[in-house]
Amino acid sequence: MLEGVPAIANEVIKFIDINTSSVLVLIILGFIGGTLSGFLGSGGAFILTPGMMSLGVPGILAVGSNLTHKFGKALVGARKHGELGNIDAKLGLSMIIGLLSGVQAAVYINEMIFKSLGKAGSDLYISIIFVSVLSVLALFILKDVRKTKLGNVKETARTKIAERFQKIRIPPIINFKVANTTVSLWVVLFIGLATGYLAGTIGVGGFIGVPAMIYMLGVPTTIAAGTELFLAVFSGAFGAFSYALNGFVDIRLVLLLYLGSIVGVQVGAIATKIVNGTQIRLVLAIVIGLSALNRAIAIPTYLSDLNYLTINSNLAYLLSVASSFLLFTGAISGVIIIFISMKQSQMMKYTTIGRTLP
Amino acid sequence: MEAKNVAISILLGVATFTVYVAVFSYINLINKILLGKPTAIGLVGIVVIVAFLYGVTVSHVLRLINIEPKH
Repeated sequence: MLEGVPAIANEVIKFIDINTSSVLVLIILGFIGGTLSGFLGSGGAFILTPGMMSLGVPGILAVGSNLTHKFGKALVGARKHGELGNIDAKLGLSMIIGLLSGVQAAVYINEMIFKSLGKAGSDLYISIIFVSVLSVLALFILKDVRKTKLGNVKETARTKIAERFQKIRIPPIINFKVANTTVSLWVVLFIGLATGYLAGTIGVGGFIGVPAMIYMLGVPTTIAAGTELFLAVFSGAFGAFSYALNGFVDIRLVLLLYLGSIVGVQVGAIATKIVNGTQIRLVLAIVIGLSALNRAIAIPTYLSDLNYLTINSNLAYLLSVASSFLLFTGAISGVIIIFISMKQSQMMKYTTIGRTLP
Repeated sequence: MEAKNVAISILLGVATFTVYVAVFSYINLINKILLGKPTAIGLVGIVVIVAFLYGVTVSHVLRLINIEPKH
């Protein structure tokens, strides 16, 4: 026990032994998460949080450490997006009150569940939110990929939804020049609140924030992505700070993830230049779907730990191995698909150049 | 220019390595200090320092081998 440290924190502070194999797994996890993150333009939390939980890290500590990791990465990314003019600071600042309230509410609920139900209850709550959010997202992206393949993309759909939200005339109505939209502040605050709540609960905020800005506010995709990164700096810093107050952040985890993720982000960013958009979305849907399955398979074990269900130790072990296998196989396959697509595109490029040469 | 980039990369690499070793060697002390309202902000500070040092190091190394992404 560490002296002068809250009792809850002491319970989780020595959560995982840092030995050679856990160091390697965390660096590899960081690299996979970083590559997918750089490639898909998301934070990578959908793979990093379940990945850490599969290694035995309590969910609340995985979320706290992941928010801290995301904050540093967002800081570097937001700087780049700022230079490219992809950030609507007015929109971002308008969302901040809702965003931070959402993060605060999520941290409060997570800590309350941890205090009353312990690690198993907290892991169960985080896993249920994960499964709900990630399954809907995977299905939505797959539907989108199918439509694109069939050539049935309705670009006007997003503007129609945005027009409906722009008709809500509850004052104050604000015009956002960079995002080129005029909308009620209440709609903006609501999106901020939902994004903050998910960021604080499972570390995944951009998956709600970016589509909401695009579909509900009519913001262009690049501005939505840049503004979301700008917001991730604040939600990450505030979430990291709030979780750290009770010892739910392990800086060792954060630093080990960085070792792999910062290199991975650059590799993923290079890949986006080569691989086409449909392939990007297909990889995203596969990885997100398997992450959801990873958490779904872990749920019976948490229910058993809480005495709501009886499962024998062999089955519990089998479920744990199956859930880790699915997650890591999905993530590694995603990275392999990216590398194969890069290789194929390069070969096609050389073949084309060869054919055009006299 | 190349030599300057190599020197910057080495310097940043050494600085990043030093921060990592310091954090891992004094993790119990750091955890003890970071818990509590006035000092939790120190955690955010460490993350900013490491993210920048390491991020810039990786960027420099990628620039040296000519594969730094432009976006």
